[in-house]
Amino acid sequence: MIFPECFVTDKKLFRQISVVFADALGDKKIKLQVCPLDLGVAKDGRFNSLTEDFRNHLSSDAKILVGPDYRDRINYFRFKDSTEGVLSHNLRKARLSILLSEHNRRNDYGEFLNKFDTLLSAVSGVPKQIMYLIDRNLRASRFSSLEILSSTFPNLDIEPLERIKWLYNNHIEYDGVYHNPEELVDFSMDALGFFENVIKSYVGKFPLGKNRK
Amino acid sequence: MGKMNHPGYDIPRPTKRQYYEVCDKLVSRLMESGEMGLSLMGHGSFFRDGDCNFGVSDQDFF
Repeated sequence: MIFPECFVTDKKLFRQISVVFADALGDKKIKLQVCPLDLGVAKDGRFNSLTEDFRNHLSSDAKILVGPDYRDRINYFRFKDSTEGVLSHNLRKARLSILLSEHNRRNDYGEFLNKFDTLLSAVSGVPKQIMYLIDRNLRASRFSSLEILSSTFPNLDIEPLERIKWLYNNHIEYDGVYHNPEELVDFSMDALGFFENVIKSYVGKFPLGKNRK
Repeated sequence: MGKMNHPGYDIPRPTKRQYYEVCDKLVSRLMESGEMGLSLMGHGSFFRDGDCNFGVSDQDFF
């Protein structure tokens, strides 16, 4: 599934599609493997979770079911920096958890909560991972890069990450979010938006080199 | 053993018909949404004729 926006997806649309997936799946126990991408990430390629191996597979095997065929606009790499790989994987995981959130909320509330925890963990690791790509300094704590992230990308809104940090230190409120699915989904959307904005800022400041293969 | 909701253990495995129902409903609902530019591709065994193990295989979308 490729969203037409560049880097930062439309969260209203995301929520609508989450309902579409939930309605289509119902209570059927079919495992869906979905790779949600956006055109910005697809074209840049560094944070595309699909590697070069998929190019031929998708060219020959994939069937266009809805909308445009974007396959010739996707950039794949055979080799990626391991941190790019982690960010690519986590971006896919974060988006997928929201795409299937309505289905999980209706059918398996435990899984709904598990995916929320996974999303927060993935998003809170983004600052130190993106800073590692920039300066190659390994930081132990997930929240230790907030200040340097802000100074590197002054226009980036880090409020969603500060809320995650606050939640991690306030378990009564964290547990309260578990019991409020609407708030949980809103929180997830903001967290994903932060992740996408970090990627957008990084790609804007550090464009893909022409010699990158 | 407690209830697990695991196909093949304590609930039936999904049927071939259900695989098609999920795909058809997903596609029709996304088309109805009229969201210009949104793209959905299918790949993997379900979209290769005769290659899907209904009840076991995943459905792969990209």
